[in-house]
Amino acid sequence: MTRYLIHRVMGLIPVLIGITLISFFVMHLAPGKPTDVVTDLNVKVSLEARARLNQLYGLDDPLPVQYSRWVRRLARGDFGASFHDGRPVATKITERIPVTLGINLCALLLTLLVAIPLGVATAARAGSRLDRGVTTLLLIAFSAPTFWLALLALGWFGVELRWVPVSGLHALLADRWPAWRQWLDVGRHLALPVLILAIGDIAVYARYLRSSVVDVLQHDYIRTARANGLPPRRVLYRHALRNALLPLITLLGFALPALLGGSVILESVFGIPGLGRLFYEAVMGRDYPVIMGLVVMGAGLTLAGNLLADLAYAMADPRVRYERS
Amino acid sequence: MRLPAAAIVIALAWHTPASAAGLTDAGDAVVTASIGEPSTLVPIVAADSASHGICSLLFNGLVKYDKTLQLAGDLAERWEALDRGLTLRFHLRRDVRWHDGAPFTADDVRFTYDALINPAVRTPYRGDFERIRALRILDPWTLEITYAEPFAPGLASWTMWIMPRHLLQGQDLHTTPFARQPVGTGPYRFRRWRSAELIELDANPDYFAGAPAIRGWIERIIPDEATTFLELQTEGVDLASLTPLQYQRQTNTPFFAAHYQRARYPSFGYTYLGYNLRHPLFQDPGVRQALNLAIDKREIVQGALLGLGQVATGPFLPDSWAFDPAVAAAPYDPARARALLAEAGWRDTDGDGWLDRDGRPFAFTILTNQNLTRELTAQIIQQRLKAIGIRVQVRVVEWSSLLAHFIHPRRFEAILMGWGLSPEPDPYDIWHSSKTKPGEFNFIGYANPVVDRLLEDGRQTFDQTQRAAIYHELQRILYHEQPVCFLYVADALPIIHRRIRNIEVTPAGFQHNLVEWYVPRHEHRYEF
Repeated sequence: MTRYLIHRVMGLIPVLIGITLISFFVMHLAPGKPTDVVTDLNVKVSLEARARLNQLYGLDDPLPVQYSRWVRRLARGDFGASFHDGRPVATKITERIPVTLGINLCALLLTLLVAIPLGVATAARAGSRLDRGVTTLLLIAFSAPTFWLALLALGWFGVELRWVPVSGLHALLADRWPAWRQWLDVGRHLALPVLILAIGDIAVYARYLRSSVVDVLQHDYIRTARANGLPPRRVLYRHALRNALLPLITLLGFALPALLGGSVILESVFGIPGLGRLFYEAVMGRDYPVIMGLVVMGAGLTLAGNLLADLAYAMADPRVRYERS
Repeated sequence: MRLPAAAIVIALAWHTPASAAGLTDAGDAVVTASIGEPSTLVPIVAADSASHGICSLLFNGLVKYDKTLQLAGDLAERWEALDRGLTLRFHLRRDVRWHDGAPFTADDVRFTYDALINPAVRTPYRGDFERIRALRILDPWTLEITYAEPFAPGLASWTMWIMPRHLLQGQDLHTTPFARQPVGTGPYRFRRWRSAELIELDANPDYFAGAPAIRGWIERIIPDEATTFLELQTEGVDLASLTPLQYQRQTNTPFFAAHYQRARYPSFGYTYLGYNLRHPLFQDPGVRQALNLAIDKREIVQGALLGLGQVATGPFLPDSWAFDPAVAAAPYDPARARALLAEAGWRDTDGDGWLDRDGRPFAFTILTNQNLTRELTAQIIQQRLKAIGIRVQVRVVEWSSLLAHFIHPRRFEAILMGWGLSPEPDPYDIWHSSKTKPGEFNFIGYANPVVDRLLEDGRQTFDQTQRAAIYHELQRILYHEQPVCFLYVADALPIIHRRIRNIEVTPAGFQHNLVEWYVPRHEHRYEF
């Protein structure tokens, strides 16, 4: 197992380098430069000023030179500074992590809590009216555009009923409140984003689980269990569900990078200061250091997620063993 | 007869409703919404509108524009032009302190100037300051600035915000912590910045022009326009700008009437259809005049701006002294347009409905950036030109790509864009024939020796009446020659919470008197 692990981790390094290399060059293929945004169309900015800006950012150098400079800095753990505001990229990313991570963890929890019972229930009654109804609802939930659902929910719960605040993360001047009230306040601000985020995922997870459970229910051992007179609930939740959950491990492997991949749309609509907005703003502003910092983080998490999913498989499924492979 | 003290206080409060309100009304906060987050609060490096908005509350220049768009003293109490305008002598106010208590002196002005001309500083505002030959400090509150040659826009360039030397000397202006905890001289002081959420300012009690009655200023960063509008509907935001659609259709409800006041004034900029004058299609002024007659500008103001704007007739702010109101917008006259085009040889010889000359149809592409109003405008122009037999295609390109792939390499036929304007009217960089190199602003390639001379004279003439005459002539020539088709000046459409009193809308906007805004005590919303 240890040897396998070392082997796998070593194998990831060239992949990671490949990802950064491709991202770096593709990013520079996009037209425009960061200096466009700084200077806009402003008559007070002379031609020389623009040339000087390019030089100061090192944008005049050939791409391989720029890339090697970036890699050497990264090797020392330095992600560079944002072109937009000159702040270190690492700081800009870390200050956004708690919000995005928090929302995504809550949403994942909510997703699992709803999707697992829903998936099992529909699988157990596959083809019934309940199954068809739920399937239709899930399809609608999955297809509805996030921004539209978000705005509808805001209009209803935020403006009409005033149950929750419209946007942001904290009430104004909330810092003068006692801690419990501040926590409650953050919770009220995050209720809708978490719910909207979970709706799409619930559809995916529930459908996956349903087909997985339906599949497992065909197996001989289930028939044996039933023939032995075990109560249906026990067959379903003890025997069928355990095996049916295996494909979810793969999904959860994908969920790891998604935990820090904030939703651009959701974070913009709800005015939440998360990683998705940071990435979007960096792309629109051609803020190369921030884009690359987020790409490295995303790539690292994706690879780690895949690795963890593989390892978790080995632990959960006795048929999968990596020792002698 | 003796009045009790309390009665005197009440009487005073009663008699000064306009200025700074009564003492009892001080307090509360204004909550504003910004689409973007400021990049830096180091004023000479700040280039985006979000940074500008905050810097304008924190800092002052030596001079400022008053509500009639004339230059008035700010940190400078008064100034003199010496040596036929080559030298400006500024007398600074002696009662100004930085927010940390340190006194403001001429050394701060020199420090700001040195930073502006330092090539290592990434400032977009260097241009005007590179024309200065020397800056001399006569005493801590008097300084002289000498220009290499007469430069009329020089005085206006000193609206540039002054930075504190004692806090910034020896620092890299791009990485200094000052960028996120600035210290200025302005009506509001920096208090707190929560990344991508909000920036909080509080009133400067020692502000030299009088402490603002409203104690707090909170700028919320809300990246989505639809969300900002929902925030307005819950009174979560006191100050925002509306789109024409929101102004005309969505804010006429009893709720908005009860809680908000709306304002309307011409924004600082105009939108135009620019022709690539190197292209054979657009070299004939007669053809360009024909296009101007065939485009119904009033229809564009109605259709794209829902009536919230005015037809542009030149490159100046309509309320500025440089603008010539005698230049009338050409009427919509497709018949006359067709006659002019026929004179230039454009006729429908093959009967296919499109004009042609030497076997080639009159067809071109309008490029514009992603902006709903501009896209609508382009479509209206497309329809109108189709009616006289000109085939127009519209292509929408992202801003950065538009600059990099089309404007800078001059690969366009026509563009639909806008110019931002400041009250200092000098439009030299846009129209002078020397400004056509890659990256410069005369990208349409306009060259007219008469206009060149007027632009040079306009820069060197200090007397406003004479200068106005020069710019009036410039505007007449430009409107006649039509190097671009001037389309419209859109209205700025701010919406402001009703509890905030003393809002005054002028050609300069509505924020010029914000130290005098107040909220009556019983309407306070925030304990600030």
